[in-house]
Amino acid sequence: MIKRLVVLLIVLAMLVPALPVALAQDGEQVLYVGLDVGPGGYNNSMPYNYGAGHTMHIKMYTPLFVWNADSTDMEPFIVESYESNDDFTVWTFKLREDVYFSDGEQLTAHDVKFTADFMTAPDINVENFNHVNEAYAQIEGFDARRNGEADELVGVQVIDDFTFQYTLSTPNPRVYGRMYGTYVFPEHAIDFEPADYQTTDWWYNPDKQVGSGPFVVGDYRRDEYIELVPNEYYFKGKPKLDRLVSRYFPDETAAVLALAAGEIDFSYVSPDVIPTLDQDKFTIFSGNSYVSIFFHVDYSNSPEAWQDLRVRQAFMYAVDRQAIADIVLEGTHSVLPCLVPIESVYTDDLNDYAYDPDMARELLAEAGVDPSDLGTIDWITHPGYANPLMRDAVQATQAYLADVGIQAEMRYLDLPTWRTTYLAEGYHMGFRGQAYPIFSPPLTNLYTNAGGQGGDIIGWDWAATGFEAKVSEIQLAPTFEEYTAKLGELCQMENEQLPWLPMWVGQRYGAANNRIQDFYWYPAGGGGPYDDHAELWYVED
Amino acid sequence: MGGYILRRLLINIPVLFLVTFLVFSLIEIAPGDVVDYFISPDMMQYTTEEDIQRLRERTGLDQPFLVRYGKWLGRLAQGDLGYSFVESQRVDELIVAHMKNTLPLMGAAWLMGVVFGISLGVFVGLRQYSVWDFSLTGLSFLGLSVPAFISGILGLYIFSVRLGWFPAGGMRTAGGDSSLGDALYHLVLPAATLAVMDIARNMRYMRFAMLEVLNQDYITTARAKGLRPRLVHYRHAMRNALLPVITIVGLSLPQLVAGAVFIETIYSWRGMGSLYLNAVSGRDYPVIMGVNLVFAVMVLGANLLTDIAYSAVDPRVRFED
Repeated sequence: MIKRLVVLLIVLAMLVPALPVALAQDGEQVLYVGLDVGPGGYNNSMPYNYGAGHTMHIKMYTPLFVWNADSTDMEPFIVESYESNDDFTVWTFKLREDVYFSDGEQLTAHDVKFTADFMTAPDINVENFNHVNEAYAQIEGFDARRNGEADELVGVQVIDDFTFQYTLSTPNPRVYGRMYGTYVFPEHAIDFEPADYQTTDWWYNPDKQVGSGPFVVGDYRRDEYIELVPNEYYFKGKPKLDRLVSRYFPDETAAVLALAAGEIDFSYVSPDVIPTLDQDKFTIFSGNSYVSIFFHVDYSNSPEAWQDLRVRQAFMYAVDRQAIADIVLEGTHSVLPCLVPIESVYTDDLNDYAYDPDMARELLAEAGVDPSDLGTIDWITHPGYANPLMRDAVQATQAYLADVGIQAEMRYLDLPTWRTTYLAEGYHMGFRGQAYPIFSPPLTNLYTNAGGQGGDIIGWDWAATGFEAKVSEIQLAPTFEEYTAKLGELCQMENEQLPWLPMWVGQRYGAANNRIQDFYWYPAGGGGPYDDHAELWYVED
Repeated sequence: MGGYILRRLLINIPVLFLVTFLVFSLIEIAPGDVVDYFISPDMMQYTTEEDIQRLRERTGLDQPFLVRYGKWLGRLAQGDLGYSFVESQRVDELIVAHMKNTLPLMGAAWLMGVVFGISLGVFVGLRQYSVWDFSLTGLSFLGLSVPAFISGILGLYIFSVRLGWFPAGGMRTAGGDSSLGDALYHLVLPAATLAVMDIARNMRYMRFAMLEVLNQDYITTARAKGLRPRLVHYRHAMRNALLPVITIVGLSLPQLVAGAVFIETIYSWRGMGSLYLNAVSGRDYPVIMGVNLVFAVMVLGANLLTDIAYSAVDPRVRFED
């Protein structure tokens, strides 16, 4: 009996691989991809709700503005034209008149107004408010609406069917810099309340979901995949693909193996994976991540010596950041002179803090600081910057510092622990990244201590002066040229005063099978959004 | 027997209560909460303190520890496990959905572990110091010592990437029609990978137990009586040797619902292991509590089942009412 059972099991095991698999039918254009690798796959398909996921959002919805193809500028998407009054407090936007939702209804300014009122409702149930605030907090009446004191966001008004107006509470010459995540929802098709935003199945139900992007939901298996089918009314033309299937991979290794096995045709990849891929079969896309990686000092909790500029300069000279970027980080990162990761704004007078351990020792001696006085630095690492490559880079930094007598120990924390430790000031230095896009840079929370839950450097005013005034100048710079020039000046100030210790900015990578034609991808922070022209993608047999 | 089972069940109620209190306390001690999980400083420049307070109120985290625990217990008494903050779904629905995926995976692995492990254990136990004994025992060392994240990646690389025999992860063909064949096709590789360790462990226990039993006097007696070797080996030796193996196999029953974090992650399998891991990472205490409750019930149940199985296998074991 047992023998028969064993034989039966073996035969079954051998037969199973031969079972038919339902893949693309003849002539059907189907593209399998891993567009969003890593945790968070579920909520990533819901605009405004999460810190990333724009690469999926823009497949189904249309924002007012988008990043350009390499995240260096902002461009209108469903906005046709826009203008402001003289003091940049009132902005008038004209929508394209050829934008339709997937059910054939036209997208109008009334949908823009509906979305603004809906997303700022006091009971809106989102995972965090960052993206809602980014889009709407600068608009007059936001606080009243959010606190339930107003029935609408009064600063957003419909002028006519295709024209709407923003009235801002403070001037902003580059208001569009905060409108890339302003997706417009169909007033006629939203059948749930703001309080049900996260819990409704509307987002994934093919019978309910309506969007104005190139695709709509065709099928959805939570944490497995989302299948998109064409929106025949898409304003840039009906997509060539019959189906776009984005598989969810909780782990990059799994995604890379699926890519290598030919089950998906695109995935994010780490730089160390690229050499393992067949160079004839895959095209590698890469670009600036615009995420600055740096050490910040908790001045309130660290030895007072860190308030001496010469000690911070010694830190910079002691570490060979270029060698780490070239060797440890395998050439995938560039050295930063300041936290602004945009080379085009740099001035000529920046100190590159080239590796000079003797200079580091001299500076410490000049400051009258014995490295042992600094104790052992308690470093904490944000989990987003603790991948194997980054860990190696941190260890190399640790070794360089030890060479001039500065000791440091690293703690790797998960996200809740990181934030708790950060707020409790229970560390000396933090190692983390900061998204720093050219528009909407983290000026207020980084440089002014005026709020935000970002990286306001605790006790930063021990180290730096003049930043608040510079931030104000940047925010009010009327033209793009003046704006970038002021950003350059900010970088220069940082470079001189070193309130924090800038390290690197990384490249990000994606690998696409050459079967995909007319494919474009850029590793934009949070996925963009940018116009990837997904309506043009197709798969060559 | 019935009275014994009833008594054991009643004892388990305060044990379960204690388990929930301990787990709730541990979550409380752990640094941070789900709101901290939502707020990543590198991307949250527009989030304000008022927003965070709003989130804390919505999730009930502004309440004291004992109030939250009391509320959780109160809802549990009404059969409500609460709502996941991270997944935005009812905890009972989440657990059922993930368990539906975990049971076939872990069940298949467990079954393979029992069938192949015990069979091979008997096989090599009867052939001590043979080539089979040395080679299979050596392989079992390998099976036991290779961690799941290595065997998982190796399995995927060899059988999916290189040979193309099996899919590279997933529980079904994405965007395709669901069918039993398709589900089995996706199940084989992760289940077999998981089973490697079970087979190796069960084989070693069974081999050791067989060798011990085969040296007992009653086996010598059975042989001296002229019983056929097959009868001696399988009716007398194997049945007695199964006793310690049953304990091991029985105690591994909770694994059926616990899932396997690494294998689920590598094979993109939406199971209990990944659910639990994500819940812990996000301090999603309703899910952590719900899953732990299920685990605790399973462990207590498995212990009871193991005791009952003893009496079935060994007539000397009897429970008094």
